[in-house]
Amino acid sequence: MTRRGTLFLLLRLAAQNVGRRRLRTLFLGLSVTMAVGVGFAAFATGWSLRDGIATSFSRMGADLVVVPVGTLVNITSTLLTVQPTDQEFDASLGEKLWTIPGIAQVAPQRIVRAEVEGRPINLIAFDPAADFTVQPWLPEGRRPILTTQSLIAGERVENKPGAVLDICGRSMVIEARLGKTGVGPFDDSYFLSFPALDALIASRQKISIAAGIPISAKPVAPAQAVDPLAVLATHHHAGSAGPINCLPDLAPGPVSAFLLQLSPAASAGSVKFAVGQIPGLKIVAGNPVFTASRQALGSLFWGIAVFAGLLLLALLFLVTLLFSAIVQERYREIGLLRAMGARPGQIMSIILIEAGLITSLGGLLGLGFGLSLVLAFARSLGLYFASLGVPFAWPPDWAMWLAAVAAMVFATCIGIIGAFIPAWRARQLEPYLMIQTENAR
Amino acid sequence: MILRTSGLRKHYGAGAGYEAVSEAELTLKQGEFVSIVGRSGSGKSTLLAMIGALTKPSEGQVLLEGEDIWSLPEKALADLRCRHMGFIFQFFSLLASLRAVDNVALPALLGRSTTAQDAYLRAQNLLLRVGLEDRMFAYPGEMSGGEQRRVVIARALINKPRLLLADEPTSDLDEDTENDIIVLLEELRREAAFGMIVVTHNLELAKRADRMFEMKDGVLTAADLPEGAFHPVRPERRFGHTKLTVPANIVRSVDGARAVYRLGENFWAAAGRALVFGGLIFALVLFGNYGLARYQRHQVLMRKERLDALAELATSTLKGEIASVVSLGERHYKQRSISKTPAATSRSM
Ligand SMILES: Nc1ncnc2c1ncn2[C@@H]1O[C@H](COP(=O)(O)OP(=O)(O)OP(=O)(O)O)[C@@H](O)[C@H]1O
Ligand SMILES: [Mg+2]
Repeated sequence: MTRRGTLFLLLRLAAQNVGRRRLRTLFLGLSVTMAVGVGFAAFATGWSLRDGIATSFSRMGADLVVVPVGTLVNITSTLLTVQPTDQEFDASLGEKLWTIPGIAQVAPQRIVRAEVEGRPINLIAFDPAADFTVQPWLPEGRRPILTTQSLIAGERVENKPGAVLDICGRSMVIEARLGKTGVGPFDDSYFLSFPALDALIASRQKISIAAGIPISAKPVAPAQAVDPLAVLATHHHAGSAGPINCLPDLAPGPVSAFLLQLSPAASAGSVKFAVGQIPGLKIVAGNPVFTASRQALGSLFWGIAVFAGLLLLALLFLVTLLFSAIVQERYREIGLLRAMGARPGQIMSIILIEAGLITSLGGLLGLGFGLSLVLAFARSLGLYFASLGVPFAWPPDWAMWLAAVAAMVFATCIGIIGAFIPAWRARQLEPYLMIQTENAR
Repeated sequence: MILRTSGLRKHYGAGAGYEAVSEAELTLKQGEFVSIVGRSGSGKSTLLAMIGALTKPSEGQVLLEGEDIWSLPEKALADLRCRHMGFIFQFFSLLASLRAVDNVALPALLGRSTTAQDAYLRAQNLLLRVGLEDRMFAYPGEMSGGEQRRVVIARALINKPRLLLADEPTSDLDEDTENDIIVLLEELRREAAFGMIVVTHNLELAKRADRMFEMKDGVLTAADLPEGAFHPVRPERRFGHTKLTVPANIVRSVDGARAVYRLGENFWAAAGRALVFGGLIFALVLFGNYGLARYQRHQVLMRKERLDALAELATSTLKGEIASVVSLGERHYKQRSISKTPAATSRSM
């Protein structure tokens, strides 16, 4: 017989064995179904919950904001951004802040006054990779990729997504509109990435060179603070309503503020103290209740995740044990097969194929079960969250697929590993002993 | 001479332990029939298991055509069990999840020297030979003890072994059935000329052997066959239960050969049913989810629209008076005025 023929035959034998032991197969399959379904659903809902919690708390703003010492600060507003200011400091400060223990995230922002068609607007440059106060306000599931020609509009801005603004000769497209934050300067602003702002600055310089106006690359120092309104006023009074007014004379690089998020275990006091050692800056603290709740919920989530993980692990151990016990229970049968001349490899194949058949079938059904659980979750808790206005989004498709594949692989593995261990041990036992052990019962 | 044992000893357990077989010298010529009798616990099964390559002797050799079988690696040993030995166990030894024909064909299938169809054809012929053509597709649990025994005999002979080892092949059977089995074994041996070692409590069966041995506390000794002790089986019983008149190897029906394709089909059917059932439930879940999601979206939208409309109305007519409109649940809204007038709760639509 050919090798493939033999394997096919072993598959038939295994299928026959599995098919004849209905009840046992049913319960084994159900245990795998449960493990896969619960694992898959736990992953998906855990991801969504963590995302939802993180987004909700990010919407409450930063824990601390670091600004140049001369900046005017509106204490009452949520720390999503700072008031428009001319006060700036060097971006390299960000790296220094990163090294301070207890700081989990450092998000730089630069607030710039610009002019579009004679009307002043607020531009806020942010770093999409580090940001945690702007993007959480994007509508659910929308994260536009920001190019150097992208803008995001605040809630109260007149222009709708899709509109094109001409700033300093560059056409900027509004990609999305943020939700309502209730923080005035935030809702009234346009947001863009740092490279986009740098491109605007470069474009403005080109215009001014063409117009013969010398560029005064203004050094940024808190001591030279100028009232931003006065700057704008002089520009207006000069009456040169040309495109040169589209942006003040800026150098690329500096930053208006750093928004900080604390790590779960950090105390705001000690971080404030450490940051305070750096000269020339001022620290603004957010609502301490928010900070404490975010930290507590963050830790709680991980605690629950670890707990759930351990429970799942216990379930996996149980399923593995189940498969293992079932092979041991069949030692007599294995002994008989060997007495009939089955080679060790053939016996291993039959046992592993049997386990694989049950686990893959159970795993397949488990995926359906898990998806059903996820849907039930979406229709209950998801709705509740949506009615509260809490952002709640499912994991991206790739994560779902990955989880599904991982769950299937896992399901097949737990059965096969569980069956493999006793089957491997059985190779060393004498056929007669195996036949006897079961017979003695 | 096909088989010779020398200095065979089997010691169970560590240390003092228990000596099941302490001395067994046995030779078997081609086609010879040897019987072993002895009290329970004297070590007969253990001796047979050592000869049948099922348990390793503590000492001594089992030479099959001059080759010590216990010096072979496991793979070769497996092939030897498969090709040269047929074993009939003392107890029920069929695989319960396989039909009679599968059970008989299994050693041939495992031997990989024939096609599955050939193996099944042979199994079918053997079952016919032992008088079980009607029970071919029965599961062991559906057969009588005697029928099961005959299936085991057929299974032991499927690979045309040179040596048949039968450990109490007639135990637990009534006298008539016992007789049938004995007749069957003798006839089969005459046809295929295999050597046969039979362990039995049945002295009548033992005496029909070419030579008889007795096992006593682990020591195998030759026992004299009493002169004239041989009792031929009563002729009137010969065909009572077994249909030995049907010659072997004339069955060419492909029915039995096709049986291989029905092996395992119950699983595929059950798996298919499970998947269809699961799929149906899942489809139901999806359908329900779709409906519920639409309804919920509708609810959320309605609520938002109502709130928006109310807010619009309130702010347009009472400009500057109302700061916010808050939903207090189904159709109750609370307006909060900027002025000092007390909050009014209204019922809308
Ligand atoms: N795996 C084992 N471990 C320890 N002792 C064993 C083992 N198997 C058998 N024995 C002992 O070896 C002795 C011989 O057992 P064996 O099964 O060969 O007897 P037997 O002659 O076949 O008896 P019976 O006629 O009842 O079948 C018995 O005393 C038994 O208790
Ligand atoms: Mg015995």
